[in-house]
Amino acid sequence: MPAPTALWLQNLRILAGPGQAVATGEALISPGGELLAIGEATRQQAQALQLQPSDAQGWLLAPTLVDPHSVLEQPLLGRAETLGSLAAAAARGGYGQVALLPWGVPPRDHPDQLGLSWPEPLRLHLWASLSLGEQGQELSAHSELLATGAIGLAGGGELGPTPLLQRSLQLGEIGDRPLLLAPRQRSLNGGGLVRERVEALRAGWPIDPACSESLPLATLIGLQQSHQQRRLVAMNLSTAEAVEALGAASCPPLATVHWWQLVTDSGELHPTSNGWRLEPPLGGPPDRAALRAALASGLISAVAVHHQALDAEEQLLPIDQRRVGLAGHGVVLPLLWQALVQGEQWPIEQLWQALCWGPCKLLGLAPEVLEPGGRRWLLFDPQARWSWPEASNGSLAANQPLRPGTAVQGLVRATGLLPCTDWQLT
Amino acid sequence: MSAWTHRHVLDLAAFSLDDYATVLELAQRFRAMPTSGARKLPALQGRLVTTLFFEPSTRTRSSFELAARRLSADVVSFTPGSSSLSKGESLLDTVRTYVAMGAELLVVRHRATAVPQQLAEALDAAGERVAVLNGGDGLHSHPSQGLLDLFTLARHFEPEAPGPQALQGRRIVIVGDVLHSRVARSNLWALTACGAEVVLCGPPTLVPDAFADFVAAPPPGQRHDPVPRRGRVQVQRDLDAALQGADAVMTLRLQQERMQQNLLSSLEGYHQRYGLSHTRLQRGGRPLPVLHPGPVNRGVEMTGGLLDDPAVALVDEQVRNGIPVRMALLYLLAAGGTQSILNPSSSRP
Repeated sequence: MPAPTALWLQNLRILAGPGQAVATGEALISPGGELLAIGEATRQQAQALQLQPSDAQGWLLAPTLVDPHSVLEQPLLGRAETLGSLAAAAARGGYGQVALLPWGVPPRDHPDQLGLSWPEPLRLHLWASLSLGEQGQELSAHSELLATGAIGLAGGGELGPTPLLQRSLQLGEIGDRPLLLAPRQRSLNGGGLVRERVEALRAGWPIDPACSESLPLATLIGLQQSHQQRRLVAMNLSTAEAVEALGAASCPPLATVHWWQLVTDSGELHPTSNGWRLEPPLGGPPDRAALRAALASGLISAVAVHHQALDAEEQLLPIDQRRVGLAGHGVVLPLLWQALVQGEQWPIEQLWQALCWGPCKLLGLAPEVLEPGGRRWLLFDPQARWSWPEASNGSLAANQPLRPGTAVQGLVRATGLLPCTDWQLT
Repeated sequence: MSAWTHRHVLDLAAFSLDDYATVLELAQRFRAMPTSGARKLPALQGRLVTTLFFEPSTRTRSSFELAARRLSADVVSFTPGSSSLSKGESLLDTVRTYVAMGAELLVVRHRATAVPQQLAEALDAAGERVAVLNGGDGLHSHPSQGLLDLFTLARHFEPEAPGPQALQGRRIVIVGDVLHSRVARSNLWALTACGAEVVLCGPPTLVPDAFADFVAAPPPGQRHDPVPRRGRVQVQRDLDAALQGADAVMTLRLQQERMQQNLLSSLEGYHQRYGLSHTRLQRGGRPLPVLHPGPVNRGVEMTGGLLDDPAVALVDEQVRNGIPVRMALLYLLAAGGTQSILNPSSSRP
C-alpha cells in the first residue's frame, strides 16, 4: 500500500478514546502524519481530494501509548541511550508520551534539571526526585519541582526510610500529584536475582524472596491508609503475594507493572536471555498470572515500559555482574497483544486501558483520544509477522528483550509520531 | 545404545537415559585401564583441551586435566587473577583467544549461572566447532560431578555392570545446603532419571519446600524432558527419618558464609541435626555408603571418623571415579559420537 498524498483507509478497527468500543470505519491521514478525519466524515473529505481507498482490514487505529516510567541516566551523552535515541525508539513502538524517572547522573532533584523535552507530537514528562540526590535522607524542594513542571515525585530503587516518606506526605506539597515509590527492600533480597519459585531453583538462579516486596508494600499500604488524600503509586509490582496484599487493602495505592513481567516468567525464559536481569526480579508462573489478573481487574493501573538501557560492553558481562535493566518500547505492544488479546481474549479496549488511558490517569494527564488534526495515533497490524529487529528500532540499548531473529507477530505499521517515510504500509 | 548427540555438555537436565548409560559404560571401560605403567590412550592425540576456570577450583580442574592427558590431549589452563572480569574484557574475548590457538574442547567454570551456555551459544553462532563442557556454573549445574556421583553409586550397587539400572528404586538422601549447591541440582536430574527416589534433607533456609517439585518440569529453555519417567523427590526436615530405608546418603559442603547470611544459627546445631556420624548411620540399622563432593568440613557435614572410614565414606572413590567419567565426557564431545569407542571392531580402552 503506497503512501499517497494522503491515506484513505477503509475497514479499519478504530478505537477512538476511553469509554468507546472498537468500531469498524474509515480514516484519512495526511502525509505529514495528521489524522484528518475518522469515521463518517472521512469519505467526503477523501473524495474531495480524489483519493482511492485502501483496504486496511484487521488493522487497528488507536491513540498512541503512554509509558508511566522509564529511565534515562544520561540524556545528552549516554552511551546506552540518549534523549534522541529514546524518542526514536518510543515512537517506533507507538509510544507518544513517556515519563522519565529522576534516576539520572546526577539524579534529577533540582528544578534546573527539568528542562528536558521532545518535539511535538512526542511528549516527555519528568518525575522529580523525592529526596536530594536520591539518598533518602533529605527532602528535595517539592513545591519548586512541581511548579517547574515535574509530573510527580519519585523515590529510588527501594522504598526508603519511612520517616522521610511520612514527612513528605504530612507536608503535602505534592498535593494531588502522584508519588511513585518502589515497594522494595534490597536488604531482604538475599542477593537474589530471580523471584523465589521452583522455576528459579530449577534454573539455578540465586533467589529473591517475595518478602523483599511484600514487607515494604505493607508499609506503603499503611502510608496510603494514613494519607488518603495523597496519590501513592507502587512501582513495578511483581509478585502474587503483593497482588494479594493490594487486593486486601481497604485503601490501596495505585500500582504499575513492568511489561516484561506480563510477557514471560522464570519458567519459560531462555537461560541466556537478556530478560533475567530486572529489579524487582522476574517472577514465576503464579506471579505472572496474578499480575495479569490484577491488571485486568484494575487493581494495577498501568503497564510501565521501565526502559533501562545498558550499553554493549555492559551487556557482555556475566549476568550477575550486569546492572539491572531491560530495554523496551519496540515490542511491548506486539508481545502484550499476543499475550493478552490473543492469548487471554482481552478486549482491545482493556489493553488500551492498561497501556494508554491507565497511565494517563496515573500521571494526571488528559486521556489520549483520536481527534482530527492530532498526530498521536498509531496503526497496528496484529497479523504482521516480522523478525526482530527488522530495521533499526532507534534505540542504542544493547539489552533488548528479544534475540536478533526472533519472530514477532504484530507491527506498528504507521504512527503520526514518525515521518511517513518510516511507515511500513506494505 | 543410541548415538551421542550433544555438541556441548551444559546441564544434565538435557540427558536421556541412553546418555547416562553411554557415559557410565565408557567410564567403566576407562576405569578398567591399568592403574600403573602406560595409562594413556591416543584418542585425543593432537587435540587441545582448555580449562577456563573463572572461579577457583583445584579438584575439578585437576581431574579434568588428568582426564584429558590420559586421552593424550594437549592441555592449556586459564585462571584469572579475579573471578570478575572488568568491563571491556569480556569472557568471550578470553575464550576466543584459546579457540584461535586451536582449542576444540573448553571446560568452563564460572560463579555466574548460564555463563557456559552463553559461551557455547556465542561460539555456535560464530560457526566455531568447539565443544563446551560445563565445569560448574553458579548454582545451576555441575554435570561432571553429578555423573561421577552417579557412577560411584552405580559401581557401589552393581560393581560389574554399573549402569543406570543400578539406581532403579533406590532411596538416596541428599543432606545439607541444597539451595546453594549446583552439585545437588545435577544429582537430582541424574538420580531421578535413573529411577532413584531422592530425599532432600536440611533446614528450610537451605532446602526450600519448592525443591519437591524440582524435576516436575524441565528447566527454562528446554521444551521437553528427555526422561519419560523420573523418580520422586521429597523434602524431609528430620535426618533420622530421612535415613530410614535409605540406600545411600550424599552430604553437601556447607560454606561458612551461610552463618553470616543468618541461614543457620550455629554450626554445632547444624552438625547435631544434619551432620553424619557412625552413630547416626547405625540408627538406620544397616551400613550406608556416604558421598561428599569435597572438600569436607570435618565435624560439620560429617565426623572425621566417618570420613576416614573407607568402608562407609566413598569420598576417595568419588575422586578416583571423576577421572574416567571426565575422560568419557571429553571423549564423547571430541569424537562427536560413540561409534569408534563402542564399536566392537575399534580398539577398546
